[in-house]
Amino acid sequence: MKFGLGPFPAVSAQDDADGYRTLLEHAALAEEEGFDSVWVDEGNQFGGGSPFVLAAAIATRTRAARIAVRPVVGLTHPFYTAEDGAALDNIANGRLIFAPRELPPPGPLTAYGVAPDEARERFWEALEVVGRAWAPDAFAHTGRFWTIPAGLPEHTHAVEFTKVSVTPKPAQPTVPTWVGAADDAGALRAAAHGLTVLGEASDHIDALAQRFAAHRAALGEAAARFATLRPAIRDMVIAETSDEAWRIATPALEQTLPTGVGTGAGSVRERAAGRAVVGDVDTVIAELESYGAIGVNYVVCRLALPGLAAADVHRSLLLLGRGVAPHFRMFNLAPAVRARTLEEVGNPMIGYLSVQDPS
Amino acid sequence: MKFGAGYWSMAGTRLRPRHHALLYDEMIRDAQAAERLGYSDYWLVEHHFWYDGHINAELTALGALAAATDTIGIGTSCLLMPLHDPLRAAEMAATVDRLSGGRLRLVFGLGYRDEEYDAFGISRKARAPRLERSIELLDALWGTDGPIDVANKHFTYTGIEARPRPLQQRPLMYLGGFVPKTVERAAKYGIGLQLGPVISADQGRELVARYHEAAAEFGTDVSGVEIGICRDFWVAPTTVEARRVARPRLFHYYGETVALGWKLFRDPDGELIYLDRPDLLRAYASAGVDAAIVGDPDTVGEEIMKLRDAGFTYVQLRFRFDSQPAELIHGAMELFASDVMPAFAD
Repeated sequence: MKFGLGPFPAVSAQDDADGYRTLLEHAALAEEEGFDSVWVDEGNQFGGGSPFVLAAAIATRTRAARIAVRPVVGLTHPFYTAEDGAALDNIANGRLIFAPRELPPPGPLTAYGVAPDEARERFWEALEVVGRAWAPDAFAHTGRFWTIPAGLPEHTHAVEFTKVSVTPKPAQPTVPTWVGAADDAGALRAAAHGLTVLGEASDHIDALAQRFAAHRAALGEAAARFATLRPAIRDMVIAETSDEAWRIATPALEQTLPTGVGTGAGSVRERAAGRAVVGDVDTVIAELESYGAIGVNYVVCRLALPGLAAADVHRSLLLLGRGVAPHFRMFNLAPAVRARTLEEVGNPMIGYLSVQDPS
Repeated sequence: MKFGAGYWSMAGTRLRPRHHALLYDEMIRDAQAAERLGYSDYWLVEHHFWYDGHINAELTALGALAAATDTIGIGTSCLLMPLHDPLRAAEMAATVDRLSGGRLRLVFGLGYRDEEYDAFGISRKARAPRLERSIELLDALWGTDGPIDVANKHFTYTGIEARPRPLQQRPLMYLGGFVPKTVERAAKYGIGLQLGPVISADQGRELVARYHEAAAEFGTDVSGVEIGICRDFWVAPTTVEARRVARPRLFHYYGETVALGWKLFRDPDGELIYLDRPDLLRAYASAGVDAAIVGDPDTVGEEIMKLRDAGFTYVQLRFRFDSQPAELIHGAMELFASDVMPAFAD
């Protein structure tokens, strides 16, 4: 199993002057702690801002971790996305993961006056344009929403301009593209495009299982053998004790957990079941095992939940990096060794944190 | 008088093709050098769909520079605003401004290439009103607390607010360009100027005068506003050496990139000067090369004095023509900082 850190909202709090500095520090720390990627989101319910700008900043503070961006795609011209993504991939030396969600959040939809159904159609057309813009060949595109080049009669100096090549190209031959599918239909569409499906934080584990199975079936046996990634985002809080983790997590999860039909009524804990991962190291390991059982093999851990103190995020990050991740990454670590370590010294992370925790 | 390093275009030209990951790495080192040497700002520029991979995503690149530098101003010169979605650009700009601790500067330009407008499906005829509506949108977005609605011929948004807000209440804004209409428009909005590189000192003097006249006509206060001009620039210990390095590269730049690539040169009738009129093409390219400031420290100092006398308070020095090795560029930047800049300290 691999681990990503994020997605950070591109704005952690409105006009929070220290928010970005903390975020850059956590990104650099995540790489040191062995995380595989750092994620930046756009336009979630906590704020807007530019994931590309923030990701470029993270690129200068990291060297190895991949940088995943989750921009809103399709509400504006897809060339903006293609150009920013290509620049970012070069700035980051080929470390870009492109992971947009199929359905933009309500804020941008309202701002641009686009209905959800149309937004999905725009997304898939835009995604096709972005993919072709990143490919080596020049191309032309005629779709429902965009015609490229437009061939406007007043552009008399562009009469021979029948194809477009977006330059520079990304540094990678193909930018990994993971789609946050809105439902199983979206997963099938991703499969038809040969793209990886990303589980969203709001998806229940049962829905994830069904979605990955549908995606895998649609890919076909041979393709599925190579399309091995099944990533999912989870809201996550880890502390020394599960009670402490829940104490910290509850107010944040009140904001992030989906509400409404089918999301479970009642307490935060009930609604969090199958969605958020909260607890001490052993609890989190056990819960992630259940995700492993449905095939999830890349967990993107959203630790910077709204309202959490930087020190609490920092602690979750260290416990995850040193306590949880090794259990999954070091798959051939002898069980007896792991058990002895835990039995003899308790949780070694707690000792580390008592020295290092900046709080 | 202030000096900026720029604008940088991150192009892997036919003269010196480079991997763009290397070019963006050099961008960061160049900006850090400019910061260390005391330049006020470091600038990028924008064009699209050109063979050399010319930078088109300035605000994303500025995100990298925001994190890699501490004190130097960082900016777009120009951001071709009519080609952008202004709400998206505003969010990116504000993110850069917050990341950098309030160091963002925005020069807006119109752009002129039909290919760029056609690829984005935007009529070039709409470029001036799109620029004006965009500036007004930024002002409204950054000058208002609550959500606003925007509805005009070019842009429609509902319930938008600045998220994030820039750290500066409003980042420094300028218009870039070459003609009286540019300076009149800048005066109308009370924002600064960063004029293009091929304008002579005398033409510049007239444009600055027109700017002040227009500001008086519009009743805008432009006292303290920066009035800048860009110059292709090279300095070396001797003028012979400076010309040896700079002029062939500049000729390549103006002949191949500017004329044939960007299709900038037009005759007085507005017709493109292209390969079908090679003599005229060469003459225009030569004029571009001749407008550059190239020489030893004394010579370049005299040329900058002419710009100061013409009313400019800021010069953007374009050290990078996309074909010199980084060590040459850093050498010239250092020589200017040590031997010329001090004489112009305010």
